[in-house]
Amino acid sequence: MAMHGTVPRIVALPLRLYLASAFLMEVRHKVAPGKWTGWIQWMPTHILHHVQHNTGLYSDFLASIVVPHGALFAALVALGELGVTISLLLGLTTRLGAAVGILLTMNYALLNGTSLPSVSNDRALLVGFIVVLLAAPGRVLGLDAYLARRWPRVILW
Amino acid sequence: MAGAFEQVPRWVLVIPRLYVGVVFWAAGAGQLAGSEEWTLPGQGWPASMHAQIVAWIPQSASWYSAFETNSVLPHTDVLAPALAMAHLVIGLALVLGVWTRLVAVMAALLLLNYAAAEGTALYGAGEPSAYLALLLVVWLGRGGETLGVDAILASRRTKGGSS
Repeated sequence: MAMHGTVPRIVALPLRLYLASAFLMEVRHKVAPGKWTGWIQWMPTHILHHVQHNTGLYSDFLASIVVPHGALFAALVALGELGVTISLLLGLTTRLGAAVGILLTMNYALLNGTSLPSVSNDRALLVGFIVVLLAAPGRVLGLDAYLARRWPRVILW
Repeated sequence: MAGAFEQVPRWVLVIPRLYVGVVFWAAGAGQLAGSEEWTLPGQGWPASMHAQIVAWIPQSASWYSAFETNSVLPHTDVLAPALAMAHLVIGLALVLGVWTRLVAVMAALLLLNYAAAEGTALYGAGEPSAYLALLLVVWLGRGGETLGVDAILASRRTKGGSS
């Protein structure tokens, strides 16, 4: 069972486009006209509810860092999701976009707190972002193809 | 499109293959064992599956709800254990990397059913579509041919073809 063997980079392209679509569907409820204020108010309440009903390291982190700055973190989440969507859609700094996606989905998975083998879209998306980070499919039908030719040593694409 | 056929290591695809395999295996095992995650209090897996489908029907795709009502619900006693076994076998095959492409198609068919039953869009962040996207990549890249039994099967085919 050898570790060698390669596949064309284009294999990961559907995953990049799917993740862009999935995040677009989510972020439109946060940044679309008329939605922003509702999101900024809703997220801290949701986090507070979680903190009140859970214990552990991640809940401590939420209680001490996120809850006191709820509006800031709500804005960061929405802008992070928007950035990931644009990055993956255009294939622009795809690896950076995937890294931000990993950070976001890891937090969602920790927040929802299900066991590892449970069915979880957070963890499925997290695994998808890991594949995108490793395979760099922004270089296929994406602006990263140009960036990689121009600056081949930079790891952001 | 110059970068389309640049090569990346196939082991990258082992990550989604193992992850989806473990989730399917755990789902099948949990359903057969009647774990809390998959059953309603005091009910077995078949009754819980029946209740879940009934709950889904209002949000199911319209073309799918008739199938659920007429073909699935009357037979949940038979279908529920069969489905749990299917999850178990698919999960094990993905973990071992055996007949990965065929198994990925079977898993995808199940997930398409769940998406239709839940009424979730395939382009959204729902669970069926997220797992489908991972399986598509495993299928496209023959994800079982690294760290999987498919590597042995493929090398035997190659040797058989060259002799």
